[in-house]
Amino acid sequence: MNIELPPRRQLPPEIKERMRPTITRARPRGRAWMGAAAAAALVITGGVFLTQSTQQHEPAPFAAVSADLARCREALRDDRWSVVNTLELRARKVLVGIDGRLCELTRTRVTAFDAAGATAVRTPSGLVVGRPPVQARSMTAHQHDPAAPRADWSPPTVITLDLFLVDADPTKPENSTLTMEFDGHQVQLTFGDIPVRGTPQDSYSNDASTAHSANLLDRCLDNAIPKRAAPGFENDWQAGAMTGVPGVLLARNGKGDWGVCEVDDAGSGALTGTIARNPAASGVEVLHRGWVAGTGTFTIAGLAPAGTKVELDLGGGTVLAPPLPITLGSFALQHRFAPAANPPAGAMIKLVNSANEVIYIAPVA
Amino acid sequence: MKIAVQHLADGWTHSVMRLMRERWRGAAGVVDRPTDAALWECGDEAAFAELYDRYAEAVWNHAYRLTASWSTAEDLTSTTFLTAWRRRHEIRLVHDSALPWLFTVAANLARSEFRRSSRFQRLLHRVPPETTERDHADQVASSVDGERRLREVLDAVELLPRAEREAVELVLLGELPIASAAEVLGVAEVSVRARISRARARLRNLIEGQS
Repeated sequence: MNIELPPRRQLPPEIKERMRPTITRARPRGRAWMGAAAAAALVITGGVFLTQSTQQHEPAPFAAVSADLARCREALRDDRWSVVNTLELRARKVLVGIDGRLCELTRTRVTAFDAAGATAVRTPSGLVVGRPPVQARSMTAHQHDPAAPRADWSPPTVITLDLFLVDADPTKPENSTLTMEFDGHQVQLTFGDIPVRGTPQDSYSNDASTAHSANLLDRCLDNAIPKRAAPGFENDWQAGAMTGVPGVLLARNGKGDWGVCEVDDAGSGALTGTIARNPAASGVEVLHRGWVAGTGTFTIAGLAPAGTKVELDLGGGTVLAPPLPITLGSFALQHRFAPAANPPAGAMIKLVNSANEVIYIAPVA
Repeated sequence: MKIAVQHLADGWTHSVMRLMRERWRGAAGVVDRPTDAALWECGDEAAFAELYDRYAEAVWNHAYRLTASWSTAEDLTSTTFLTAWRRRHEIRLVHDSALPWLFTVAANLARSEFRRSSRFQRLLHRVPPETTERDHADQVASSVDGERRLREVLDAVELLPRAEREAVELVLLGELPIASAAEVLGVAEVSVRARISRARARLRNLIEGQS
């Protein structure tokens, strides 16, 4: 049996240089990525950043890489799992294992997955992970829902030599499209055709208690990721005042924006209302106010100057003065009337400053 | 054009291969160049660049024979060297040559990344990384015909049992010596010869069945 084979060709120099892996030549100026050599050399230390982001994003919000590695190893149940690469996108990291397994980390969840049998997969959080065309240097992405074209958006992306990440909106319907453009060449996919891999596991980086304010804030921030808040919202947040669980948590970022997170029984909620606030001259700004009928639970939270006290005037000369801690210039009060019922008609809530002046008054009902 | 590749029996192939082998087989017989093993042990970018210079042409041609597409061969060659860099701790040098192992990496990639038929992969790999080399007009017809024939062969090779397919890819498509193929596959030479013999019979039936 003779096999017909084409003659071998001499390799033209321009093709040789075109194929030459980036690791064997000088890196282009202005590029953000590091060489794979450095990535591989630091395997023992747990991985390095090897990213070229196509959009600006804030500095890393995460703790040390070793902590990330420990969380992934726990999720993978593999104490010897090693990392060759770490990518980061919008408050999430993807650790790439030397064995090809991947690990997505958010503040409070870890998702171990693999991309075997597919060039791209997506995680339940909407992160699309795939292998780019060889030596693709840039990419953009666009999600389109034919039923809601006004809700189209261009998710942030990161591309490296080996992987790309797209922060896709996981709430888009399966028949929506994800269009990716690599160096000007488009690839359009039906969202539902991208296989979903991995199951998120709880993995808190702070105190083990889910009611810990830092953990609550982290979970609120995690849950806000798919909500596509303004870029940079995910970073630099501090927990402000909070009620018990369930209840309300306030948080402030480095820019002075305040957010509200309504936390459910399981200690989960999503940070919303991240709007820069300009408190009134009194210093009081109510960001959240709620009354759960039939439970007797009233909640109010917002901004207030230090030394502010609260009074619940139930009428008939009955005035309650529950403690009102001020944290980062914010307060959060939850009061359960006894017996659990609607509050008395005409009940008022008052905030009083240190000079005993009423700076806020409103009906409870 | 029909080129008989029976252990380099054809005169044209033999002469070309003899010239290329001296370069491909690494530094075993060359005193003024570091051996492949020495370069691999260096593990740095400069050493890897030297290995790329040594074997890019061989891998590129082999990649074409694995894919029947010059543009895909470019992708595959580049990816082969990237993968080789990432997995350099797994390398198995054969007679101090990295080439058999590079051919194996290329073949594995060709199967796993470039030939699978999932819709997404087809879409993604349809994206050319950059402009690809174009054939001259007077070469187009024979080139297309050659690619068609090569695809027929590859389609048949794809249907072979894995052990035979691996032997065919290294010995018949890659034109490596039986001894090198045996070492990189981790089997005896006689096993490779037997696999090749069985594969030839199967390929004959498969290709005749296609036509």
